[in-house]
Amino acid sequence: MAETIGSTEKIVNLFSSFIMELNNVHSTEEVFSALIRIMRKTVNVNWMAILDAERKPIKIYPNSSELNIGRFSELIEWALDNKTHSFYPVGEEIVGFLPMIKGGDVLGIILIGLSQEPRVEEIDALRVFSFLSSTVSENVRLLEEVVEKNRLVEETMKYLHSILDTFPEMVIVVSQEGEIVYMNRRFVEEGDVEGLKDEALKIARQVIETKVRRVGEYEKEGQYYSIVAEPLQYQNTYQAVTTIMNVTSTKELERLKQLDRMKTEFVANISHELRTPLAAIKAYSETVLDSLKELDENTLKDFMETIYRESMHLENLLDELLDFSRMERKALKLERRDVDLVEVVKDAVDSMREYAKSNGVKLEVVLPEGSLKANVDPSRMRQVLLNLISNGIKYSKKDEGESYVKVVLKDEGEKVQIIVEDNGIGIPEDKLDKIFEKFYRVDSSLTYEISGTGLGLAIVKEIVELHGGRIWVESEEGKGSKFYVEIPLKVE
Amino acid sequence: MLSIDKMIDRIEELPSPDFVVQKIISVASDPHASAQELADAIMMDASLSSKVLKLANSAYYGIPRRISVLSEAIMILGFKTVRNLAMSVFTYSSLFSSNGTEAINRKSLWRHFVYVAVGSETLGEILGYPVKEELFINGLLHDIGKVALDVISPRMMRAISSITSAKNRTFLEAEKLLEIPPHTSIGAKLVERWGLPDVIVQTVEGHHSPEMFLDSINAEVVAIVHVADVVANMMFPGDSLSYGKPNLSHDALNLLVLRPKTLIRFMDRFKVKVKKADEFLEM
Repeated sequence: MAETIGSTEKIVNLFSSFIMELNNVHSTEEVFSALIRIMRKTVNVNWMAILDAERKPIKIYPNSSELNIGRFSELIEWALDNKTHSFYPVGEEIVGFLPMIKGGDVLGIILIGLSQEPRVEEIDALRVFSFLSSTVSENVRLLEEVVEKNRLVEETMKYLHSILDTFPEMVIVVSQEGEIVYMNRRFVEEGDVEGLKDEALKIARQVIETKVRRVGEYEKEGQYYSIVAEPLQYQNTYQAVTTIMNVTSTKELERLKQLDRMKTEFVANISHELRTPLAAIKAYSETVLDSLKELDENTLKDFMETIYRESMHLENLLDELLDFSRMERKALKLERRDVDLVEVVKDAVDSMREYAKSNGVKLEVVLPEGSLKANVDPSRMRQVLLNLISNGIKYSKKDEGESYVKVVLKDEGEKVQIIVEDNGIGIPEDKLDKIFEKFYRVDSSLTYEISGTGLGLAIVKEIVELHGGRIWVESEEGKGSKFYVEIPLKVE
Repeated sequence: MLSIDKMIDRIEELPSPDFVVQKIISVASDPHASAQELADAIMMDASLSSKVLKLANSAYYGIPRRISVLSEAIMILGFKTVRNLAMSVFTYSSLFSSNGTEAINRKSLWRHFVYVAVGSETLGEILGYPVKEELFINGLLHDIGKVALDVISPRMMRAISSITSAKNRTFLEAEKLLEIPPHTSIGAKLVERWGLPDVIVQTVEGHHSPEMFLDSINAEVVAIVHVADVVANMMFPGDSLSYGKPNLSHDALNLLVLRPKTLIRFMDRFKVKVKKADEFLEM
């Protein structure tokens, strides 16, 4: 039973408890429960019904009661249309119609059945309570909506994140200010490679500046990364979605495939190389055997010399192959002796004179005065020189001006430098770093224009490095090449 | 030219609310009052009660069932609305029974009273002002000063009338031009003398300059009546002898957070409401 109001103090108490209850509500349901409680404290309530904007009951007091709302529909519409709070005598009861309105929009209506006529102050209190509760319930509803929306947004975000996290690529997003604003898990886990982030940021900044897709590469300790950055317009700024992928395995596979191809070429190549002298030896010895009696001494000598030369050539090829197989097995050993390098160079150059002459190449040599003692493997050093000189002759420009190969031996104090220079066909720039690789030939084809196994320079490099030295080349395509060999003087 | 004090003294010549009206006002604002008490007060004047019942059943309220008993009207429409009806009847009769010139058309002026009352209530409804009935009575009485001026000094009224209609000026501009004490101050003194609540005194005083009462607890009421008055004067020029372009107070708009969209919605609803208010015009 509600007490009659009757004093300001009581009204203040009612308002205080209602406001306190509203402070703790989290749902519209709770708002209306609080409203029903406060209404019952204010007046003698027989029943209450709260209808939503579609006139559907959303809360009824007492819970069990079955109310016939339909009989009030005309009055409900009138009260909502006029946005008027009014009380109708209906039989023994007074029924109150309290529209819930916010900003001119109808949120619903509160129906209240009273056992006696409310007084002015009671009507005023009921009106204010219904005003307050419609405002609060609308706010709570909006809050619920916002919370639900946020939850949905968060869930969607989480979903997208987990998708991005499964990418095999590392993904980062770089803001216009050049800051990383997003990174997927792959980047967090694998992106900590020295310099990689800086390279990615550099490319991303270029993309933000130019608004054009960019691609880059980065290499660190044998790991290769491809970097792709795409511009992204976001809230009037440009960002760069940057994808980083470790492509090392792809690169490695590519390298192995190439090696395989080179080996196949090598086999074909070396068979050809071996067959050429062998065919000559076979043909000449057959002729000698068949026509032994008819051959005069000079012709026979000529034939035998060819056979001998070709066997020598064959031997060289086999030696090269053996060296290579030793090299592969790390079994190439040096037999160091104290020798005079001047003699070694002079000897090697002399032995190539005939070959140079027959190819129309002028062979020059520049030696230091006196002797130059070094602790090296003389036959291996000779091998290096022969190889470089024969390459110079082999790759000279045919039918064109005066070709030369110039060998220079220089005393550099702690070390010696051997330079083999030619004015031959040269080496294309993009092939410079590959010529010392095994099986590699610049022409890299099966045309056999120039004989060779493709192993020579790889073996030369190995020998030089076994001596603790280094080898490099300067070359210009069409102008000639200049090979440098540097060997430390290790005189004991 | 009369000074404002001398003018106020002559306000006595205007009819003041009789005992019945005074009783109605006091009962309607008594928190402990019951519907029956208010009904009893109105029934002291038989012609008043029938007029109140007629208005309660008018198209303006559009109650779906007919009300034949005053206490029922009070329950359904509320104490304050019924008080407003009583006050309307009184204002109507005092407007048409008092002496005055033909400089101002009483019928038009009454229409302005009713329209601003309806407009204020409608605007309050749209803005979500909880006690919209209070707005009705404030709107109804806001220009009571013009009636007073007409009674006190028909000569001045004629002067104002000739300026506003001929030169397309507002009533306020004409007053300033002629250096006549403003109808707002005269009206305020009048309703004060009648013993009406402070809120009505402030509305009458400030309905052209709501910034005067921004700090008052009645600031919203004054501002709402101000906006309704300006809109009524624009839509029905000349009803209150005001022509030209009335000045809409920015302070009022800011206080009410009244955006152009809301203002347009108000004007649409206002047009519908005034069409239903015919029964208020002819009592």
